Amino acid sequence: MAADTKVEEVSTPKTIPIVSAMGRWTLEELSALRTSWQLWLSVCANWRKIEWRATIHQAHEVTNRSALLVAVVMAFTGAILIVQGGTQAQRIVGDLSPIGPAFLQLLIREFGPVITAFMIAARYGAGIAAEIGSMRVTEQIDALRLAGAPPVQYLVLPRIYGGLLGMLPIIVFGSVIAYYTGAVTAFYGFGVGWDTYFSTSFVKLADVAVGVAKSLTFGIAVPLMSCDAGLNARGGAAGVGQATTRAVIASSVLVLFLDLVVGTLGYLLLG
Amino acid sequence: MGRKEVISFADVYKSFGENHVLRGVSFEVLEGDVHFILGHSGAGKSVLIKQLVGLLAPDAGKIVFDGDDITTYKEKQFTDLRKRCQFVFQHSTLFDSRTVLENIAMPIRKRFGVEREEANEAAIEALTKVNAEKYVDVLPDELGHGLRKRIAIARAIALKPEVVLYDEPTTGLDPVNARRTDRLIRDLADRLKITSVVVSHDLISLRSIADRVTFLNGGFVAFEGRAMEFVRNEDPIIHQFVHHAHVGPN
Repeated sequence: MAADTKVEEVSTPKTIPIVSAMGRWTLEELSALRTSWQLWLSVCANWRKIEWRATIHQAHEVTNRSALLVAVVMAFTGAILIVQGGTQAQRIVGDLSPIGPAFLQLLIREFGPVITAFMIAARYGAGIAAEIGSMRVTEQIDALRLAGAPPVQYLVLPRIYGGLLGMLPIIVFGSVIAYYTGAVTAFYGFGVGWDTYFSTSFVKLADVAVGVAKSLTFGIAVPLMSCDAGLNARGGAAGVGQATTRAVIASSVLVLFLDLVVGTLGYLLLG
Repeated sequence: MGRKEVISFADVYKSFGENHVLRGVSFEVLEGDVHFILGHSGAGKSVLIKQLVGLLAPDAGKIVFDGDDITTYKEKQFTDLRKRCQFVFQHSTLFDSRTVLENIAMPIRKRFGVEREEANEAAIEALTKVNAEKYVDVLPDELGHGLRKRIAIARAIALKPEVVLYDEPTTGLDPVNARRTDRLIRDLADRLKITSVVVSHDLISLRSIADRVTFLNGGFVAFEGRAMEFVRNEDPIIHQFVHHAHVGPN
């Protein structure tokens, strides 16, 4: 009896804070999901109100201003994947001839869109959240509302359209870089000939369709989650920092989720 | 015949969690007045005026603007009200990436649906009223606090409002710029017949430009009346506030 009482005394204070913390976290995440959903509904309701100048500026941010980062990351990605893939292929099948076509198919369908979207989330998404978050905590968002410029139309839509316009070109750019650094790695590392590597025999129209579909959905997802994080920033500089972190995490998780959904639908519908 | 009430707060309550900021605030603002809302930091002064333009909603009570009960207005209904009632924020809130001219012209284009040229002309006219017309091509970051405040006021009056709400307009300004801002508020009220509601704890401003005063303390209205009556009031709480005494009821 005494032992039971002791166990209860020790375990109760530990269990309750964990449960309550989990409960609080769940409620906060559900609330965050709700605000993201509401923002998405608001975007859908106002989709015709395009601010062209701001949209072009945002597309420039996604493409030209992110090009160097994407080029560097994708160059390394291409080389690393060919080193890993080539080593495994050599060990297991001994035939390296499909390495180029298989890599191209994977790049178009999977790695190109996902890795580039991660880079855009880290650079462009973080920038959006910091900018809108700062505007939020310094009351500039309220000033916009009072000036008759709704934040969704004035801040969110140009970023979403900018993402939509810019994501596909930057993904194509990043994929081309990765493909070519892969080619150089395959040639010098494994002796794969250029003609063998640059074969497109594995690539089907379905792969391109899935790649484009992913690019477009990521182009919406990253700015949407980043704008949502910025618009919900609270407090001062610390709040802006938290919003920036949240933007990158939420965008990256949503990119992975959409990658799974679009990828699965692609295999089911297009093969 | 007395002047009409433009704004009326009736038994307004507002809490943030356990922090009960307003506990039944009632008072009126008369047309054409420069009406000060005074109180210690955290007394709910800014909360009160933000409720007028729909940036915050009251928990209970009634807010009337020019005869219309706006307490349960939705965002769309506030869009019309904001054409008549503008807000000058404490931190100016100019859009950093736009020039002074664009800061003022953009809201004009949005509000009145006019072409860029026409909006620019109206923006320059508003800047002239606050003696800032030579800064049209400058970015807000390059300006001092006093000028930024004047430009924020120009942005508000460019939309031709009947009422302007000023949130701590002299806070953070040096004494010279603070007095210039006071003069500007009074001049605009007199020349353009704008009703002005000024949230402040600047007693020099109060003495020089206020018509009427509402003093908030502990979530309640502790005083409502003419400015001179306020500064001469012998109530211990008001006396402490007016004379900056570090000892007293608060």
